[in-house]
Amino acid sequence: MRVEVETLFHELADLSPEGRTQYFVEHNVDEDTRREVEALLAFDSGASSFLLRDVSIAASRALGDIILQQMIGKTISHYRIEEKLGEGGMGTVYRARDLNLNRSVAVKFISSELGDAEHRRRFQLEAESASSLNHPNILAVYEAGSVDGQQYLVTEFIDGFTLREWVRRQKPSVRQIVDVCAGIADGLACAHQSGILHRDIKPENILVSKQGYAKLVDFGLAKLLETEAETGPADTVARRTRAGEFLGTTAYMSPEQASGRTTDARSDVFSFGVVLYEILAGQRPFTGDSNVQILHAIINDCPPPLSKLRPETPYDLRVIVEKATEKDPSDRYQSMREMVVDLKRLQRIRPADQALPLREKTASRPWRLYAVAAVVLSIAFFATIWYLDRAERTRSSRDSQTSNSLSWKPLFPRTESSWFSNPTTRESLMPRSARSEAVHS
Amino acid sequence: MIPLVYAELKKLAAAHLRREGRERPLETTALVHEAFLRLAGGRHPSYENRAHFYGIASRLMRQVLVDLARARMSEKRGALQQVELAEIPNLGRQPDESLLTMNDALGRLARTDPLKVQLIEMRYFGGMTAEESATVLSMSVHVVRRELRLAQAWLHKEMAG
Repeated sequence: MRVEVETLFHELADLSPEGRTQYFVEHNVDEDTRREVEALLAFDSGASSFLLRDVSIAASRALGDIILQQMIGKTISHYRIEEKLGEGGMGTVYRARDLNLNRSVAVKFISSELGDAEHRRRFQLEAESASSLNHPNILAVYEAGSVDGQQYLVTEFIDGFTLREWVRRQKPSVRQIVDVCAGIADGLACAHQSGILHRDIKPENILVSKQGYAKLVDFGLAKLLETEAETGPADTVARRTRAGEFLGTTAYMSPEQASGRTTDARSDVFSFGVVLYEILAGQRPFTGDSNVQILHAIINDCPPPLSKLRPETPYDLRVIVEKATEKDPSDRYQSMREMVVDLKRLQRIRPADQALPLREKTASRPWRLYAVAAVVLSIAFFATIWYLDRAERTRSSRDSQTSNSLSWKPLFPRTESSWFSNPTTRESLMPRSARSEAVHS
Repeated sequence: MIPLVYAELKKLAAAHLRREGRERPLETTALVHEAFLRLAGGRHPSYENRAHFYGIASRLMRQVLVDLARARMSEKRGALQQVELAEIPNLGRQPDESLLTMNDALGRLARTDPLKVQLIEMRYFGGMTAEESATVLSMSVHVVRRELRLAQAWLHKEMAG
């Protein structure tokens, strides 16, 4: 930096733009120097804020990595930490080995602030709400514990991806999306029926295993239905942003969450609808450059129609998404269960793009049809024999034993082949005591 | 003494962070201060000693952060193929990058104006006030403020361009 530039900077720093221009003219400053000084002055305002912030954040991250390095290989309780999986709403998740049961688990360490009672309460709530739910599409909680003041949550380990990652890698068909989402919807409906709202439905909170089944995770923001009115949405936003997930999660808020009204199960319905829209369309329905803009869009904007973004989406599915993402909760599905019913219906009715290859296959391989027909016919044949024999037997046993026949029949429901056994052999197979009971009861 | 301070800062930072949670920006000041209290032991050091320690610690703090940011950036590049369970927002890489950009800019500035670099380090990495810097460098507070202001403007300009 030239001394001349430095001096001018100090002289001009506190002058108004007009004052600066005047100074340049009066002191006959050459063009190059003037440009240099002006460039510096342009960056004078606002001073340290963003640099300081970036240094702080970089420091936090850097030091987080130190902790991470220290964590891996450590054994906490009877879990040996093996690998970092990611960062969730409330902490960092690791894959670990349960040394007692020799299985993989996921361990989440809660980033707890010193003496933050609210944090602890939420952690406890997450552990309780998730573990009270027993559903194939909800991540199973194994244990909640604490070591050296560090709280952790042990859950089942899912070898797979987040829903977002799954979509990116798998490029799933509409059919596959419906299958995965019907499962999640069912899990969510189950949570609602147990009185638990998730409140943070987003693609990062849905895991899809490599086998293709989906699990709803992270009940960190979950609330029991009765206590919902306690906190407003500002609180929710604050928590989410505090957790370092900047624009991501706001995008899945319902209009009532976004505008500060109380929420209920229908708010989860909305968020789930947004997720469904996003994975079908490949873009979010409500976007913006800042949280405020996104919230505005959620409250006011109509998303671009799915029929344009993904034309092969069946009409019924578009209706489901639209119904779930209605602005007014009373226009939406009134419960997650209703939505599940519609999704399951959709699953049963195969969309056209799936039905077509199935037909082609049968046409090109007629022997398959014959094979199926042969199996069906032989089943029919044996069934007929069985039926006739049973009718015969029922008649004969009714004759000989009257009302007792019903009491012993269920003892041999499947194992016997009735057409080669007769009432006499059957009776001899029964234990004596049972037989006498049967006769005398 | 310097490796000792470096190690101490690293250790403290980790402990600090475990307590505070990752989401809250780290107070480098608090860290340096704590490192100082530990290294100074039970003695009651003079104001001058404290300020000198802060001066050294600021530079080391910069080194700690830059080393880690570098390691993390190269690790990130290497880890692109790995399965990531939770999406880390795109914003996440920015602070590392801007820290490294800042480090490069400071490197350039050091060739012509080591004093300004020192002041920036004290302010940003040591969290030192202008008064503290003035004590360490035996300068007037007024000059420290002026120099710092110019250095910041220059740094912002360099990093923006």
